[in-house]
Amino acid sequence: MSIRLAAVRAVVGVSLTALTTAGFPVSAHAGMISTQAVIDAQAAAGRTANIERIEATLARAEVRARLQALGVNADDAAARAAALPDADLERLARSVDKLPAGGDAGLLELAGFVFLVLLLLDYLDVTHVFTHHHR
Amino acid sequence: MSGRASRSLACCALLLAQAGCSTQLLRDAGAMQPDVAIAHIAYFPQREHQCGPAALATLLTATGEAVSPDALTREVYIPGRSGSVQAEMLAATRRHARIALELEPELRALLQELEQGRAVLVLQNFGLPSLPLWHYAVVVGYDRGRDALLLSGANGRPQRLAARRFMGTWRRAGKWAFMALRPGELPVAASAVHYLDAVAALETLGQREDAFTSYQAAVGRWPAEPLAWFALANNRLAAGRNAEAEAAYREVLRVQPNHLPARNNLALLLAHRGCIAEANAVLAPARAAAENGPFATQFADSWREIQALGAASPVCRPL
Repeated sequence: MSIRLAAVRAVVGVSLTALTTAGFPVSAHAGMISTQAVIDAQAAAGRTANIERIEATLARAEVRARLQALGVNADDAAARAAALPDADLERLARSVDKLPAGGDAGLLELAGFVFLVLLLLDYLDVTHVFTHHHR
Repeated sequence: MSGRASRSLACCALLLAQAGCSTQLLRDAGAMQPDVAIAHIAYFPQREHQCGPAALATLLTATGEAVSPDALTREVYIPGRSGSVQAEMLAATRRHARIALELEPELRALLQELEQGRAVLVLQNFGLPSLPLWHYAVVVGYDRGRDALLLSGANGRPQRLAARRFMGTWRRAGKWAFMALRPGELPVAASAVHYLDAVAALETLGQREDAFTSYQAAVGRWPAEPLAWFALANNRLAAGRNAEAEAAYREVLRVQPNHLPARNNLALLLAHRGCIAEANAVLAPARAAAENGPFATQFADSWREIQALGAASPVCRPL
């Protein structure tokens, strides 16, 4: 780890501690175990269990930057990154440009696409949607 | 002769079975009613690439949260992707004070929720596995006789889609589906942990009282599930309702005496009430059992804190 990254982590860590110990009386004490932490510990593999809070903060900033780079305005990107659970952050930071993104291309385009695919499959003799009687 | 007869019989049976498979998907998946059509569905005409915001608006509106696709565009649409990603669809649902609960990837699970009057948002892939064309839609009913599902259409009308075709597009999208539950509303068939996980995600966003309502419903449905009581206890603690929290931690330990996180949190709570001896007794099994366990650090921190509080020889105050 670079010295600069280490410094960033230290600063973020200290300010987070300052933030979280200010509010609640008993619940925010260092030893308290959160519901999410217990669920993460129970969950089998496949989930980023117990992601470090500092890592989550860095990943959240990364997601925010990625959203902005993809055209989301700054305020919305910040609110959206803040709304994501820790467990989703790393995957989004890594691959928000590759994950499935539902966005109807319009029904006409869709129908055209499906038609072309079927035509191609028929042509390749995989299906017989249009060439039903010509076998 | 008899061999030939049995062969043709087997052939018939196979044909029938195949016919059955291709036309009775809903019946095979346990559809209980002849047809289901969910009330209060708002259909929104879609702008280009905006099926995410439109589908989410339909889903949320069906649960009583009236919100427009335009407002949701700012919460889920990614211009550079011309679409919306799944994690943000779930996150935006929580921002509107609804529990985002992913369904088991089975048609049966989807039908069960529809029968309870709940709309379900699904991801579909109209392309090929290698050349995907992702699309969100809301399933708002089914027609068992025609073996078809009703989906919120792109043109502001419900759309009938043959179950066989729907299953093709849904399977290529990993059979992903989720619904939006009002606080305190329970699903038909989710496991306790799955439900609590979804509620905890809502709670993390700061919706503490909504989570409280849901945890109360959870302990009602799953009274023997320690995690439900534990979540309720932590929620009450965060609300400053220490007596309620303490009672709920004790419920955890009643159904599972070796629930170490509950012992840890209860011990801290007791120590802050001045009850040092009991705090030590409650925490002792946790410290003994989990030298290298997942929460060893917290147990050690709690132990130190209890000793520090005990140094002032406080009086154990009644609840």
